[in-house]
Amino acid sequence: MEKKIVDTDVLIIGGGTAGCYAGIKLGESSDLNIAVVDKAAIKRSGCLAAGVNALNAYITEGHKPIDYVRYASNDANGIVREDLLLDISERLNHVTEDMEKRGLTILKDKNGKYVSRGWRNLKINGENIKPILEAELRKQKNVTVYEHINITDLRYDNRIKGAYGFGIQDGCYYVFRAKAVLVATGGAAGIYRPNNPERMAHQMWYSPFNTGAGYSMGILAGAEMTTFEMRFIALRCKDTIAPTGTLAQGVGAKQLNSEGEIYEEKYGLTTSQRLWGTVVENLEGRGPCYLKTTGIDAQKEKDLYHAYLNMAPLQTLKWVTSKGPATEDVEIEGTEPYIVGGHTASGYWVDRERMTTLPGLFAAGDVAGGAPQKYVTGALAEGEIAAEGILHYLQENEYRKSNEEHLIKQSEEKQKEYEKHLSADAAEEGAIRYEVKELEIAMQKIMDEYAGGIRTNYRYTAHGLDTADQKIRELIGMLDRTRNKDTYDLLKLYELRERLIVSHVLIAHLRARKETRWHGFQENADHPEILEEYNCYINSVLEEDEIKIQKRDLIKVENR
Amino acid sequence: MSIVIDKTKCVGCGKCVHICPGNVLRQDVQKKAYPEDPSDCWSCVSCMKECPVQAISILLPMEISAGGGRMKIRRDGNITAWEMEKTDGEKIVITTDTNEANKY
Repeated sequence: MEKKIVDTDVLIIGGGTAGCYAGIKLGESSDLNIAVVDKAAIKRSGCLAAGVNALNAYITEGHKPIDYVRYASNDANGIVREDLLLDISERLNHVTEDMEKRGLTILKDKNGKYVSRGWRNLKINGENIKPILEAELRKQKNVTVYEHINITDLRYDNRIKGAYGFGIQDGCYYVFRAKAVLVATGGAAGIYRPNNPERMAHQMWYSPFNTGAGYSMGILAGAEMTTFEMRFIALRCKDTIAPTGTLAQGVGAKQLNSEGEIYEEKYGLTTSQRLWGTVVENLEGRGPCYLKTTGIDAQKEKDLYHAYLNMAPLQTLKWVTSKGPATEDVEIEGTEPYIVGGHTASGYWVDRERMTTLPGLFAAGDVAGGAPQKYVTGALAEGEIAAEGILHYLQENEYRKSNEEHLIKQSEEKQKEYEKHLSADAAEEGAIRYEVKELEIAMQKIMDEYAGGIRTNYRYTAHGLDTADQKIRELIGMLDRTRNKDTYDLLKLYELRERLIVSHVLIAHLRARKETRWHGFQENADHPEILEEYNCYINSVLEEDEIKIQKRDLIKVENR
Repeated sequence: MSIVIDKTKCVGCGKCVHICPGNVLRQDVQKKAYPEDPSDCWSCVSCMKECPVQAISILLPMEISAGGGRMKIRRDGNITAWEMEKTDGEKIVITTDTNEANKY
């Protein structure tokens, strides 16, 4: 592989919502050189590729940031970092107004005020939110965008000093050397067997290209992670796996069982309770379940067609070519579990400036833990907070001399690792080799059956986790036995490695929380009750190939 | 996988290959786009929005709706025309404008 070295002040890994916004803010507020690197093209990369049609985190008139903290904390049954949530909540409105100035369409009334959906949601047209962020990022003269480069590992001695990756299209080996790094790669999908079979396996809600890269590179470098066991399982439109918020909150559609009974009040209205209620209704023989949309008028139906085209176009195509929501209730189902810090609290353990436990490494958006329900505006806010944190870090820490010998060796080893995977076929003729896809399907089967996937209605036992752990370790060992002909295959291999490492850590977290804190999200069949002693965070660090679990006390903020 | 690329229409510009968020598309020796592994597609339709000649359509998968259907996209600045077709040939076109917010 041809080696390319890029020197920059700040490296941002991942050009999604948080990464782009951090890049824009650093570009506008400093003379630093910023490199934003993405494994795809930032105009459509990440989970907002198709768009988004609401901003789910905004503080409307009559409410305060602390109200949002209380809402998110209640929804997560208390296991949140209230300090991080408060920082985000205080910036939600300012980043919203800033995005509107940059071109995002937000619904307003005759008096020019935002029209809200409930007390914390705004209605927008976010089909073009990624093109807007991309254009704003490219306006910054000190920002350079690197696309189609897959970062796999961090570059570090006593602090984080960049990252290693490879060009998917150009086939080059890349070394990014930086003084500070922001990881903003999103969460992890595709670790459990998904709803749809085989050729439609990627018909999922969260981006199947968010494969846990950021978690993986941090775990391998020794970063502390928090609350992986709070998995996110979305309640979605059956088969299309399209979002349901527009129906539930926008049109007011209630959850309905097959006996015609509205069941949502029976179970509670937190995110996990809405899911769990649907699971129980099915288990007790009152499925399938629906969102009651029949009877909405023609105008509402038409508006829904528009709304879904701007976020999940297959849903509108399905409605238009068969029966629309006015004539047929929308069937719902739970998805496979995802790890995603924008919805639940899974991710890097960070301080209030969003620095991780590794000096020089910052995290924002779905990879950053502790602050659930952050959604799009929370990711923007966190991008801004991290940008300020990086500036502060660079001012406080004069660039210290590196351990060059160590870094050169690290770089050489990484290049050799990529090259070994690429030349595996030629090196050992006749050796046993597997396709990456086979390992991926095996991983999803293991996680589904033994670690609380759809098949077991999200329930797991300690015995099952032991089996899962052993099998996932075996699969990690098989990464060296895969067949890879080019850098596209290498991308798939490293995406699989990321998912396996996330699975490995997730299993340890699921085992460590010996209670059931959130029905469905973390359904521990051995310990079905909530226990006072688990009013704490479950954190983990990978040390010498073993995952060390640590409980940490909850961090609260006073009412203000 | 639900996208279908019409190789007779594809002009080999590579825009879809560049934009795909999953690096799913590649170009053959004639520069025509094709999906390396069709099951990797997310149906986000980013490629359809970029294609200058409407060579890419999306076929409603049987696993999603047994009635079937097809969609093409014509995009001009803020305006997107979503051209949908039922299996009996009936056509429905919905136009969206990024300057108009979602009502729900």
